[in-house]
Amino acid sequence: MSLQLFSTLFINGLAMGVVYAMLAMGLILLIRAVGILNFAQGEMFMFGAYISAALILDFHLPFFAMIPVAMISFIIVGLIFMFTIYWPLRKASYAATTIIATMGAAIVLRELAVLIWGAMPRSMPPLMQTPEGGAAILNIGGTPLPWQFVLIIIVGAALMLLIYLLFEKLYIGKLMQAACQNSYAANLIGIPTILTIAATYSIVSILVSVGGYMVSPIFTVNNTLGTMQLQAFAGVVIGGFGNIKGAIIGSLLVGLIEVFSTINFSAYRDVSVFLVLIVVLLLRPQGLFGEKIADKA
Amino acid sequence: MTLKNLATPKNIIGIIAIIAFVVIVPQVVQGFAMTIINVALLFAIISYGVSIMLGMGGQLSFAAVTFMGFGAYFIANMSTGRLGFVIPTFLALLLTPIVFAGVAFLIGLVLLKLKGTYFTFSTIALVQVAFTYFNNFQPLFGGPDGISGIPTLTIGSYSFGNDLTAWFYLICVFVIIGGIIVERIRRSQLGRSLASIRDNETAALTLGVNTYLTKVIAFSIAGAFAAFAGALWVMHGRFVGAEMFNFLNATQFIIMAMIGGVNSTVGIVIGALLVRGLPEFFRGFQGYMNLFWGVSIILLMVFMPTGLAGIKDVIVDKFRQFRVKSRKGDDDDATNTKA
Amino acid sequence: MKKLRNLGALVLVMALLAGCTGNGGSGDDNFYIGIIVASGANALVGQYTQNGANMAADEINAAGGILGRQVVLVIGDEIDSLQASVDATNALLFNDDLSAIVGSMYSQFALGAMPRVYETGIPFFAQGSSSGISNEGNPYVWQVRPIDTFQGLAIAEFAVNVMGVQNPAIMFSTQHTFASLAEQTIVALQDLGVTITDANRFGFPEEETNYLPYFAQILAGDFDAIIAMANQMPSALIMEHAVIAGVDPQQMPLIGSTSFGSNVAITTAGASSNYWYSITDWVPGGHTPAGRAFEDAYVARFGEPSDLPAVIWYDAIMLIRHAAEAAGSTDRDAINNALHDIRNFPGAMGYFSYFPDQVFSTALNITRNMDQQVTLIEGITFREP
Repeated sequence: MSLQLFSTLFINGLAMGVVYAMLAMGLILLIRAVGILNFAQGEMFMFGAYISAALILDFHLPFFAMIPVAMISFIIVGLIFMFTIYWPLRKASYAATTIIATMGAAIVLRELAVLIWGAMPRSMPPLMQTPEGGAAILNIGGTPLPWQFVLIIIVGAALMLLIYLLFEKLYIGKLMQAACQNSYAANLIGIPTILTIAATYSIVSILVSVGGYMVSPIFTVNNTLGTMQLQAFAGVVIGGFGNIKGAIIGSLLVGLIEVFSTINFSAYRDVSVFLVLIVVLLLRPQGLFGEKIADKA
Repeated sequence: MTLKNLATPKNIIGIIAIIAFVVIVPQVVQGFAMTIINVALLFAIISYGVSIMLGMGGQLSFAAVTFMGFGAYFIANMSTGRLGFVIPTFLALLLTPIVFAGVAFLIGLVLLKLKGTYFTFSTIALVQVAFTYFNNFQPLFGGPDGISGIPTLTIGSYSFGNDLTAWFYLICVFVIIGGIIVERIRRSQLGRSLASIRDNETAALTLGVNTYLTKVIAFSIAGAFAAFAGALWVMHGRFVGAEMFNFLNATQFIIMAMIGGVNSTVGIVIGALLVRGLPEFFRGFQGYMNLFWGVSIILLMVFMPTGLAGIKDVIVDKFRQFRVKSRKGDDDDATNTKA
Repeated sequence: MKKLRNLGALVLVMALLAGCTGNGGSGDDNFYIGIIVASGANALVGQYTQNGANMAADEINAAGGILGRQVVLVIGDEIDSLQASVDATNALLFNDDLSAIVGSMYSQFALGAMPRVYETGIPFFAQGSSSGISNEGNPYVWQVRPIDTFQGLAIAEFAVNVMGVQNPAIMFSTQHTFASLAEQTIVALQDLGVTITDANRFGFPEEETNYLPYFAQILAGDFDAIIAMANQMPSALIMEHAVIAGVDPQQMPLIGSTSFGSNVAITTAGASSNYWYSITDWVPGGHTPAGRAFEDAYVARFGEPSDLPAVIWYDAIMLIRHAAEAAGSTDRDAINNALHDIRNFPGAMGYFSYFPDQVFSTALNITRNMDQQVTLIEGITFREP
């Protein structure tokens, strides 16, 4: 394999990995906050892409006006999701009950998107354009890299770093985590759980929806975007459950494995990712970066 | 389950209900609805496996759809002669649960080294890997066009053909046998071990339960149920294609079990009938069927988190708010439905 | 108590199911045709299907119906899964009112319903293009589209004889329809003396969204053309990603399956769709007067160009009408027999004739996308109608 082919594939895999990592990080935040595996994560991602498309293509908002409106919409979607899917079920005796409800939510989001915006896929303009309106290409030493991929990596990494700092380093983030882990005690000292959980859902919704917006110029906006969540699941497990750093590295790995397994193995591409997943699970059940802690579920 | 407690009024009513179902359904239902009911009952057999894994053992597994696929492709290969030999359909049907209990045991040995959510993920991985092979590997799975021309079930000289009512009776027999097996397991040593794992795996370990082996056995029983139902399904529909065994379909068996009540054997059958019957109601709302389906799943989970079998608990709870005086007895099934 | 409650639930379920049975022949004076319509992930196909079928029905009814009877479409929603499709088709198969059924566009879904079609004995148009359907030899199953044997041959002949391709990269979705088409194309290419090895094959899962790694590899190899086969949405992405990856259509002819020339793919891919050749079942406007007339009527009614599902449902219904009128009966067997007598029928897609393979199609189109519009290069007749 030539160096050029390798670097093209590598950047491509890395960009996909960042997208999966955004989904995966959202998954972990929810698992930590409310202990729930969200099977509608991919559909929230898809919905984010649709909302951005509506703001840009239907309302013709300029870029800087679009950002705040989009953020507010993402938060609203996150809160609606929380109050319909999580809140009524927070005391359910089976974890599976909530999981199934999120599966139902995935179907509803997928169908709503088609109902509201039609079945026709929507094309989004790339952030960096050539004068003719095509996707701008960054050329490094003869290796063509689409700018959008570079931007995905930059924006995704920045957003994830911000959220990581918020949750792991800042007092307010620690407070939120503590409140989620022991809501009874948190209520006793005057932190309303509902606020901390709502904040988590809003942050997750923003993270995931921005991911959807970032990939839309490359993958178009359509109702099958949500299938990417399976790769994010694989990333979460490979990295180590409940561990943000691990999930991100795991997702990057999944992105790379996927891209490199298209070489002479393309029809069985999915197999390679999931075989790696099974092998990792067997050799290191706690994931590559997980601590040996008992699983709650 | 001794003869003495078989004769309780509750059980007698239950048996009458089952007989009534088997007798009345073919009288009022023909044609299309019969295909829906037959497939629903086959899916109930698969959901029995979910009940054993999830209801009794607390293990969420998506693997049922893959074992259904194994069973279906096994029959397709054995009965069409595409591998160069033909096994009589009835013999192949009887072989299916035995062969795939073994296969599931081996897969279970590997996957169940993992615990809880890790295990769940490994079953998702299994479903994805198996689906890719079902869809692409021509020699065993027919590739893109699937496998058609599968003969119907023949026992001795009697062929079930396309007689949907005969199929209904046959499937009912297996649903009832399967239900009895599930009930026996629930009351057996295995069932109690599983329950102890579900409630607290660490405690079960310290009490001397071999949790690993117990789960593997449960997994292989569930696999056998799914493969057997898959075998019947393919002889009923006479076609098998990979699209049936993707991850989206994997979820429906869990939904069936959850809607019916994951620890209620009869509830699972009703759940399967509901899940398969509900879309027929929405047929008029063409184009919105999936939306209604998604909304129904959410509503059912929100308002009936323990499934149909839990309705009574909800009603009784409401009732008790008015009448503080609590009744004793009649609560044995309430304990069943709580994890 | 518990069992009593269960009994109640059972009765409820039975009542539910009994409610959806009743179809004992309404005996009125309409001509009923069952049509399968997709939704869910395949909603786009479903919309075009619905448009094409409605157009056919309204046109027939405005002209006095079939044998003086008004056409009524009975719709089965197959959503997007095999089981749902088989259920929806079964619902139609058990409906005694129907004179004919237009089935799923997805070959595997149609194959799943075909055993019961045989028992029911109703003319059934399988709208997929797999040769597996025709190979079943089911006397009641008909296809209006050119099946993949013909498509594969046409693609191979165009690539080798017209474009002089000797070492193509073949990209295909591993979804049933396209895997099967890819196999037929490879067989035809090999017959034409082109060596195809595993290195030429680039299969990808149907839900693939990222085609850049494939293009990176193709560009790193020494391929002289790209032949791509996929559904509408993937084909739009493939065309977009080819541009992003820097594929030069001047050096490497780009040849796609039907969807690459479809309105949906071109609208989605925009300028990236330019320069792609496509071997299509349908190009808006077709290559015959009937095709032009269909397209004009479609645009007048829906305000946008048509797409493949619309025209195949339209043509299937028109064939049913022709057969019913030739037979002078609404009887299923009579219609099925009359379908054997179809000769040179002017369908929108081209001229239809009966052949022993029960595939009516006789022609394909070679098109090229220029200035975000599909343009017909020529219609090719692969067998005499």
